[in-house]
This record gives sequence, C-alpha cells and structure tokens, in this order.
Amino acid sequence: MLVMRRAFRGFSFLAAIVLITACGGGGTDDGTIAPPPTGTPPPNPPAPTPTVSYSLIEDEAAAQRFLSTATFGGTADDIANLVGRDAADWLAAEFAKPARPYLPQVLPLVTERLNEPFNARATRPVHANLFWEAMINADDQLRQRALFALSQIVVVGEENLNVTHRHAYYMDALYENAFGNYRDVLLDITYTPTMGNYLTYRGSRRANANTGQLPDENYAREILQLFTIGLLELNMDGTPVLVNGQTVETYDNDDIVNLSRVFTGMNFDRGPDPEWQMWNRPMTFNANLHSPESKDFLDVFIPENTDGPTSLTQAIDGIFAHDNVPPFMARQLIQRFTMSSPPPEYVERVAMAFATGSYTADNGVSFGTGTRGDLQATLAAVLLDELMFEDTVAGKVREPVLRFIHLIRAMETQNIDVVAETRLRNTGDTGTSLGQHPFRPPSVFNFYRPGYIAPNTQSGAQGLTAPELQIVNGASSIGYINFVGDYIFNRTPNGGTNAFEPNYAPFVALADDGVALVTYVDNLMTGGRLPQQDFDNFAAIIDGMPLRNNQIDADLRKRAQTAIYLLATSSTFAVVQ
Amino acid sequence: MTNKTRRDFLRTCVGAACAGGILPHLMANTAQAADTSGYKALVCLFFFGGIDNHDVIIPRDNASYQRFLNTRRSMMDIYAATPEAGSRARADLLPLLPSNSGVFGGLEYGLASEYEPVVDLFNSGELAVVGGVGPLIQPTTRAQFNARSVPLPKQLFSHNDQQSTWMALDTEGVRLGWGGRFIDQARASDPTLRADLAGITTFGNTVFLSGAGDAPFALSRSGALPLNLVENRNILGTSNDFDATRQQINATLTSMNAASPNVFANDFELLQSTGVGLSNEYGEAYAQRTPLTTTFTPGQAAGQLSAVAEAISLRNVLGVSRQVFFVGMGGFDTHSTQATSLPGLQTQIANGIRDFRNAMIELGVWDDVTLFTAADFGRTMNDNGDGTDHGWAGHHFVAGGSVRGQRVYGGFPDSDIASGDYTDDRGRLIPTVSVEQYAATLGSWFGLTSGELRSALPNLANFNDEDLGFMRT
Repeated sequence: MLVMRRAFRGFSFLAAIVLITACGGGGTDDGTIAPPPTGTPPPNPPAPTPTVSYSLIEDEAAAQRFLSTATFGGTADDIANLVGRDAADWLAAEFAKPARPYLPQVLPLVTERLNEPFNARATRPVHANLFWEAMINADDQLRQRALFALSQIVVVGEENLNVTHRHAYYMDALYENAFGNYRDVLLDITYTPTMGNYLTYRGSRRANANTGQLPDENYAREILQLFTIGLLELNMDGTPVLVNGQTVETYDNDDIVNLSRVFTGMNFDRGPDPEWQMWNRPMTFNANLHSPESKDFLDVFIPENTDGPTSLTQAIDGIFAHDNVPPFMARQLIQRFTMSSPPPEYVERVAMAFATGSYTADNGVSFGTGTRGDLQATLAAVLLDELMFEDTVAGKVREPVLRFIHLIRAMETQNIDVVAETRLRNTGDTGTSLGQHPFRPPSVFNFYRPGYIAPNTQSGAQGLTAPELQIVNGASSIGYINFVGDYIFNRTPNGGTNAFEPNYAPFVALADDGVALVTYVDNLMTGGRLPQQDFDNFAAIIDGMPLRNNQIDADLRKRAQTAIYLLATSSTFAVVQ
Repeated sequence: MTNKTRRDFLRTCVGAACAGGILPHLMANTAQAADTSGYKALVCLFFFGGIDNHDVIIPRDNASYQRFLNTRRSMMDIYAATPEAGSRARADLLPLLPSNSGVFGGLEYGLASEYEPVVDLFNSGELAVVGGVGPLIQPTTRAQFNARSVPLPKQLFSHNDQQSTWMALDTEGVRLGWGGRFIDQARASDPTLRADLAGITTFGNTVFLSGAGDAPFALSRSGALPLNLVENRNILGTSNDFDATRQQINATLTSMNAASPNVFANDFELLQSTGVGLSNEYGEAYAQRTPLTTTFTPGQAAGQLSAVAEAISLRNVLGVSRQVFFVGMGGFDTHSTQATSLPGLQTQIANGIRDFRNAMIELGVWDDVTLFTAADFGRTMNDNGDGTDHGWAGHHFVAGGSVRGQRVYGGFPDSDIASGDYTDDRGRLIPTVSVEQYAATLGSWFGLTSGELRSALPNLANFNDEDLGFMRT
C-alpha cells in the first residue's frame, strides 16, 4: 500500500540536500546546490562521509519518478517496494529476467489459420494484443519499454494486420536483442522479411543494362538516415560538427547508389514447409541477383564480385563503425526514456557507454560486455545518469501510449482482456482515440521526429527539441482525454461490464477529503509534482462535488474518478521529470 | 511598381508568364499593404512520400513515349500485365491540351486515365498544371548541379527534409512555414484578422502552417469533437448537482495558467488548452451548420476535404476571412509495387479535387478558394524493377475559380534522361521553377504585396518570374 502524505510534496528539496551532501558535493554560499561531481574528483575533496550512491531510491517520490522512466509506470506497490533499493540493482535484476519472445506465443494461436488456403488466412493481430498485455502486466517491464523504444527508431509500420506472425518475428528481432548489441539489431532486422518488405529491398536486383533497371535505394537511404548515423556529422555529444561554421553532410547520393547494391538479391528463404513460414526466418541471397559491382560508401569499400552475405556483413560493420552511431543512438534512446531535449553532456555520457560497451553505476554495479553497441550499458547510462536524480531536470514529454498505460497500471486495473476490448486494435485515430498505436507509426519516420521543435512555445524559444509535442493539438488532446476518460469511468465500450475495471478502493477511501484524495493521486501518478495552483484547483473541484446521503458510495466513486481524470489529463502527468 | 525598378519589372516579363499577359495583374499589385478584403483561402493538398512526377505528366508523342517506356521497362511491363490496376498504354493516356501549347515545344503530354476529373477541370479552365516545381536556391542546370557550382537546397532526396523544404523552405527543424507566414503578413496589414482559426490542418501538426501566431487548429474529420465528460451528462450524472463540476473541468482543460516550473509541461498545457478551447468554439459553430449536399467519393482525402469544405462554410460564423488549410495523403513513396498502388491514389486525388470543387461551387466561393498540390519530391524515371526512387522536381495542379486554367506553366521535360533536364542517369528531374515562385504566385493572389512575398520567401528574388501567372487577380 502506498503511504504518502501531503508533506511529502516538499520532499524534493530536503532529500536532495541529503543526497548531494552524501555524494561528496555540497551547497554553495549563495544557497544553490552544486551539481554532483562527474568523473575526476575535485582537488582536496572533503573527507567523504559513508558513500551513498546517488541512484539509491530514498523515498516514494524518487521511486515513482524512476519507474516512470524505466517501466510503463509504477503501481502503488511497485513504488513502495523500490524505496531503499538502488536503481542500479533494480536495473541489474531487470537485465537478468528471462525473455519471453513473441513469435512462440503467437504461432500456437494462429497456426491452424495460417495453414488454411491463402484466401482464408486472415489472423487476429495477436502480437498487438500480447503487447498491450505486456505493457500493462508483464514482469519484464524494462525489456518491453526497450522494445517499444527500439520500435520507434528502427521502424516497421504494420502494413498488414492479418499476418500477425510477420510482425511477431520482427518484434522478436528487437525484443531479443533489446539487452544485447545494437549491431545485432541492425544485422537481424536487415535479414527479416518484414523489414525487407517494409523498406522494399526484398526482391531488389542488380542493375540491368537492358531494361535500365537499378537497385532499390530505399533501405540504403533509411538505414543511414534513420537507423545509424543521420544526415550530419556529429560530435560525441550529439551536436553537429561545424567546419567554418557549416554542418557537414555524412553522405551524398553516390553513397546511396553504392550502398543500395549491398541489399540486392535478398529474398525469402523458401523451403518445403508451408509458405507462410518463410516470413519467420532470415531472408537469403540469390547470388545471381546480387550486384557484382563494387560498393563504395562512407569509409567502406567492398570490392567487386563480393557475395551478398559478405557484402552485407561488411556493410553493417562499416556503418556501425561510423563515429556518428554512438551519439546518434544515445540521443534517440534518451528521448524515448528520460528527456525530450537532453543536454550534450548527457548525450556524451550515454554515447561513451554505447561506444565502450560498459557503464558503471554510482553504487559500483557495472553493466555491459565491453563491446561497442552494448545495449545494457547504454540503457543503464540512460536511466542511471546523474541528471535523472536531480530535481530540476526538464524531463520528457510522454507520448499518449505511455500515459495511457501508466494510468491503467496506476489504477490497478483488473480484468484486462485485450482481445475483447476491441478498441485496442487501433488506437491510432486522432480525435477519437490516442492518436498513436504501438508499431503503427504513419511512416518509417515514426510518430514524431527527434529534432522536432514546437513552434511558438517556451521550449521552442529555447531551441529545445520535443518530439512528442509534434502530435499534441486540440484534436489529439480531446481524443486522448475522452479515451482515458472511458477507462477511468469504467465505460470501456467493448470488453464487457467488468472489463478494465479500476480498483477504486484506495481512492474512494480518501474521497471525502479533496486534499487527501488529490495528494494520493498526485503522488501516485506524478510523484507529487502537481503545481500548487493546480493542486488547489483540483482539490476544490473534488470538494465541490456532491456527496448525497442516499448515494454516498456512487458519489465517492465519482470523486475518485474525477480526481484521477484531472491528473491523467494534466500537463504535469504528460511530462516525466 | 512601387517596390521594383523598371529593370526588375522587365525581368519578370519573360517566358510563358509574359506570353499569357500577366501585365494587368502586376500593374494592379501596387498596394503598400496586403489586400485583406473579402474572403480568400488556400488549400494545400500534400502527397507524403513524394508522388512520381513521371506518372503525373507522361510524354505522349510517340518518340518521347517510347523512350519513356524503355527507361522504366520493368515497371511498365507490370502495368501492361495488370491493366485493371491502371493502364499506361499510350492510347489510354488523356491528352493534355493547353491553350498555350507552345510551351511544349512541339512535344505532347498526357495524363493517366485515373486523372480524368482533373483533365475535365483543366479543360473547363478551372485547373492549371505547373511543370517541374521543386526547391531551388537559384536557377540550376545539370552541369551546375554535378559541379556543385551553385548553392543547392540541403538534403535533397531526404523525405522529411524535403517535406520541410517544400513547406518551410529549409530542412527539418525550421519553425516558420510559408502558409503560416502568409497569414502573418495578412495580419500585419489587418490586425483584426483572426489568427487562431486562420491556419487549419486535417493532417496533424505541420510546419507549413506555423507562423508567429497561434498553433494551427487541428480539424477533425468528424467536424466537432466534444469533451465527453463535460457534454455527456450520463457520465458524472444527469443531476444538475454535477453542473458546477462539469463547468470546472471544462475551465481546467481550456485554461492556461503556466504554473509548472517545467517548460515542457507549460507547453503541453498551452497546446492542449488552446486546442480544446478552439475545438469547443468550433463545435458550437459546427452545430449550426447547414450540411453540404455535395458528397465526397470515399478516399484518403475525402474526409479531410469534406471537413475543410465544412469549415469554409462556417467562415462567417467564425469571423475569419483569410485561411490556409493543410490536407495530406500518404502512400506515395512507391519504391515497390507502384503499378498496383499508385493508380488507386491518383483516382482518390482526382475525385477529391473534383468533389471539393463541387462543394465550393455549392457554397459560392470557388473564386475565393485555391487548391494546390505539393509533395516531398518527384521520383526517378528509371525504375528499380517494380517501383521508383527519390527524385527532385514534380508536376503540380492548381485548381480554383481564380486560376487561369487550361494552361500550363513552368517546364515540361524531355524524356531523355541523358538530357540537361535531369541530375543523373536515374532521371531525377531538376526543377525549372522553384517552390518559392509557386508559393509567391499563390501568395500574390492571397493578397500579399511583392515586398511581403520577398520577405516570406527569401530566395524569390533570385528568379526572374516572381509570379508565374497562373492566378487571376
């Protein structure tokens, strides 16, 4: 049971002083708090008191905040259980949890259907159901978050929902490598027929002088622009390299033309088994269709007459060795978990973890294998960065799916039946739904762009990127508000009367007192960050709601629901910091 | 000609525009400030992914057609094998017969039959075709492109950057679009113009409409979007006891107090509260609308164009007299299966333009509304087997009662990809007119002065024809 008090809203100031002092930093004369030390200690450091790791979770507010970045949101129990643990230990435990790949769960449910004649083969989107369920209830929350994050970087938009096994196979390429190495992500996804289809290189052929046909350039362009290095040369901290004040482009069209030859000849690995199974294994190269020309791009030169598999491995390794990969990936992974506009120092720290493949937490726990691209080291660097344990960090605007799932978890929603709740089959519509559906962005450019700066906003004026604000407007807001309203007020239309039923009890118990109720919901859902003005407004709304003797239970419940609704639609809940 | 020297003026009077006699138009455009009288609306129909320019305007004289056929032989074989998807046989092309056919230099061009409604509008003088439009810093030849001897737009061939360049004249991250700037310019001349419902999008937040004023209003295809908890009395309870709560919730969701110490939280609140507030206002106006009798043929843009038409019908209720709309369609990145996917989209485009025109006729505002098309880029003439890759210039349609239709503007390419019209041996078309010239012509009709246009379109002065002449005044 979550036990928090209104006084707890003042936590951040007191606890921060304890924390900073314990870390060997200290207050300055003017009363401001110096940042904790990074790397080398200052000269003549004061004798350290017994060291407390900055990533030790000292109270429920810190626990709530950390779980909002590393999971799909903490329940009251999750929050209480994390207090007193070091976030690094929690992370190590997440990394040790066994993976439960999707395809083996999907196939038993659809194999019979897949073996029917082609025309009758439509299947349910089982993978999507399983993912909703996993976001809400799975124990391996960090790995599922990492899957969702990777799915927004190496994007395959679901094109055909009636072929669930194709998407499950692609999901597993991300899910199973989520705690592995990004180089393996790249190689594995390139071999998936799902990506081959989505970015159209499956079936691409060597140039044909007779017809004028040339290789498909699509994947060559997007693997560089979106999956690995981006358009501009980057410093390790993610800022663009400037030469005479000008940015430097990473590649030109000749690079694309050359790299496009690498992906020629790839197609299904057909076998004697039922034809649908060719989607569930890597593609193979047809030597006759693979380009015999040399492939000369970036710093890579693959001589003529190099076979397809060798060309592909050399190409992936060559791209992966580019100096841009660590900062490019670091910045985007940070954006998916913790900060919409990370400062360069933070990007550099994460990029270093990516490049070296290792990261050591403040409490001494180390992560990673020491190989470039190690994602455990990288994720640890993202989630355990010193900035994450400071109070003033600007944080991340959360996309609608994250907000919705956090809400469902925080309400301890029962009777989750994602199959019966047919509305979850497509939450992509703006205006009537969340405006975002997992794995279904409108294009390979994802739901929003990592470089998006919202016009005519404070953050925009400061030049801060805020990708998720790209999908916030009046229509999307009303869509989200009405959608979550249905789940808060237990009005889910399709799942049956008891489906998606919140556990209102802890809320109702406090509902005769607006301050107590809003304090509880605020602590649970935002870590007690609601600004005083909003807090007072919400508490006054609750206290103004009728409590009629003849229907006291119903009225208390409406108060509880209204308080959750006000928090779930607040700008404070929309941002994790 | 207050803002131009005589030499400048003479420079504008070359090529097709001069031949069409745009003199009266230029002479009339002497106001110091934007003309903000009456009602005017621009509607941008954007083809995300980059529509294949070589499948919009197709060479039709025999020699050009055969060369075109041979350049994309594999894909044309697929068209030939699946004529039910869309024929590209020469005999099936609809001839493009402009009144200024001299621009074609003796060559012939046509459109696929999917575009029949577009060709009908062209022939009735309500639609113009602008050939070879794309981002340019200054006029550029193949030799100059290959030698990089002139400044070029950044990140050519990259989807998001070229979308951004079309909409806002720079790569991703730029914050002002020319649609938004046009609204700003009109408001600078007439501060009484509403800013908050001037830019309206049916396709999500777009930099095209981003100006100095409020964020564009996101219009739902369903018209009005009520806040259910406030509007549906069954949720909290039908009793009046809950009315105060409903009002307080509505006030909370539509007010901006910027109380958070967090900049993103305040920005989120700004976008949400202004958006919800405008939706409420729009919803009230929408409830009083007279439904249109024009029906829209189902298609990707139908719901959006229908919503735009409804919004235009509410212009007086909402008190808005200058508007720029943004409508989007996706699916044009046809690297693969182009022969079976693009024709269906082209049918939707053509039906959408026709139905929208009919709705504007019904409202009696066709002379006040101009729809134009745009896209990331064109595509390669050379195919990759069953699709095409990223190119540069494209051909676009402009439709409206004030369009000088049944005419072509800009340039129409040779079908020989070795010619100077292309960047390389894949047939990526070099623009003959810049996006800024295209925009300036629309902006001039929208009421902006040439000084205002030059301010909104920084490279415009690098081109001879600052007005391509496809709009009447």
